Amino acid sequence: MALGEAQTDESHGPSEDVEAEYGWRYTFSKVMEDTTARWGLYVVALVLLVSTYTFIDSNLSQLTFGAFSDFTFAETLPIFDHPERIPPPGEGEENMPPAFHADGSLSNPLGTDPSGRDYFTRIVYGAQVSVSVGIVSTLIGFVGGTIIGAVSGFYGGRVDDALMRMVETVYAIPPLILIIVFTVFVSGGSPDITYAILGVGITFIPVFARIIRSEVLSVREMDYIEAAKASGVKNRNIIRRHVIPNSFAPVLVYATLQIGVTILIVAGLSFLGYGAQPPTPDWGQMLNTSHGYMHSNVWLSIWPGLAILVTIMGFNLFGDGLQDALDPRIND
Amino acid sequence: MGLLRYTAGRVVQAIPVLIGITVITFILANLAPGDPVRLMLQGQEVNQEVIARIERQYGLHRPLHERYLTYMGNVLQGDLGHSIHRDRPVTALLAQRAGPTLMLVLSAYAFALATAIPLGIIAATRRNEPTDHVSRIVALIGVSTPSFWIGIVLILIFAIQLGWLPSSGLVYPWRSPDQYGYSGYPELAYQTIRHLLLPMIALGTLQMATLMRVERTQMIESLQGEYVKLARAYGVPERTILRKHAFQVAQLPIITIIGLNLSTALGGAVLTEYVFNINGIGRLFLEAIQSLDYQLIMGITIVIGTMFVVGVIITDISYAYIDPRVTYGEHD
Repeated sequence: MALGEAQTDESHGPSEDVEAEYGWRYTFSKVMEDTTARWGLYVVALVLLVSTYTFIDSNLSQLTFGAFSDFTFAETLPIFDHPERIPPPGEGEENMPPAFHADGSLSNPLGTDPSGRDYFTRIVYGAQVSVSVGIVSTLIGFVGGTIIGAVSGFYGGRVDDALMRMVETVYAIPPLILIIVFTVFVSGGSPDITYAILGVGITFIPVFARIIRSEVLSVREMDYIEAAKASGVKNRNIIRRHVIPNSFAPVLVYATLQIGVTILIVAGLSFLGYGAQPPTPDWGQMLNTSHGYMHSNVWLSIWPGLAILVTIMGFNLFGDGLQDALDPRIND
Repeated sequence: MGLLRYTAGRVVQAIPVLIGITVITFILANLAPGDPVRLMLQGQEVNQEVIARIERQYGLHRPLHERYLTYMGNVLQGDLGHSIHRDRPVTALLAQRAGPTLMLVLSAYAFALATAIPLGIIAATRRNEPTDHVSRIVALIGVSTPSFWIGIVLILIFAIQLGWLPSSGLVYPWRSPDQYGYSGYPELAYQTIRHLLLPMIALGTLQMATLMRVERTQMIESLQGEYVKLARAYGVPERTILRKHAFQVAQLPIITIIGLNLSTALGGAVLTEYVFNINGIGRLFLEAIQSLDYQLIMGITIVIGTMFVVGVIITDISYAYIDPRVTYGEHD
């Protein structure tokens, strides 16, 4: 609905059947028509599915067998092992190459890590951290940025000036550096993934604020805002009911693309040791561990990177497709 | 004279941002829960007297705003404080490490520009042909891959497997060849390039990908311009049109993107320096974070933020200088 409104404002001479041509369903079908965007969506869906499953599994196992249980339902399947438990000495072979290698075995399709854990399981479980971090911190940036951007753009003048100077300031410090400083100081020297999520989210508030502000600046001049003002609707309600819903579409596209950027940054954070901490399986953190084994086990450094690449590419392709589908200039 | 006034105006506009950077850094550094002195000493057993002495030395017993004003006073005089762990002035440490970082970032930009512009033009002139598709896939992979993983893969291939290039450290061309035990300047130059090649590509790939996307879109737009149609109507050869008419106009947005991307590049330098063992500001930052060296962390953040602001001002000015359509003194 909100999207539909946003689109009709931009298009000239909307047809009678506005809902059918510009609604969610229309957008979705547009995305599906685009081959690359469709593949992007498939990848995003797969990654979401996998991380939801592993999330439910690890939590359900904990609920069923107690908080300190060392068991997941997934490991009853032949293809999975426990993602964190280190096999006792003599049981699991360490640094095994992937299955296609002469020394590999099918029970560990991607080999094992230096502690003898199944690498495939860890890669699969790694999706959970990346995706949840990507989505949660993007959401923080999105909500915070929407509020600040909407207020800033709607009121203009001094409020706008002050807020935009703040935005520019945060912009000036490279995100990775700002987030590391935030994470380390706020956590009092013991960073973990929660601080990383918060840090990334807060850092991206300005980015979203800037985009929504520029949208609001054009929406503000619309006749229906004038009409709402004239009929005595409070400013707060105008922002909530009219300004935000109508500036929504471009920000949504941006948010999709931003999830990719966030995953990229959090991977860097974890790689440097300021994100997810061991034994939690996380792609960036796994690359950190494998950094010491570059001579002995090449594959350890390959898989997590590929996982990151494919995931981010999925979000980027889907985001690009969404942009094309929502952009009225391309639609006509 | 207009340009001079425009420059002065941009510098004045940057002042609140620069102040903002110091405020943010200062607040973050003081956000840390618990006693900063104890944090600095990281659990080392010291007597009360030592703690009191350190507190006095850094003025930690005074209220926050007073400390900030003193700090700012020192910053304005070019004094970024004293690193407690290294027992040296922060400015001296930064000066020592700036060379490698600048060398890395500038070479990455050179690499990005040298590849992105020709590839973007080729993609634009052969739109929707195989060449275009390939270059778009390259760009997509470029924006979706973490720079540090590109570094890791490059090391795995070119240093470990093939043994062609060194995997860590840089050779500085400003030093004398004797220091490295090289035979003379030609060998120094050769080794400089050999050492710089991999980190440069690792850091430059993301820039290349973003610049290539922009270059392609700009060229496509530029080639559809009225002036190109006119030139074609006059029978100007297509090569000349490309070189003289379409190309120049398309380069303007590239300049802006270069400035804005400086933030990503400086953040990426932290990761690249870590992967390739380069003793630049990025590594210094990580070392400072590791030892919770307050003054050093603040100093680095302020310097990097300032580098970004200055970079953006320089690109804005060169934009105004190159594009006669920009009216000086107008807000950007």
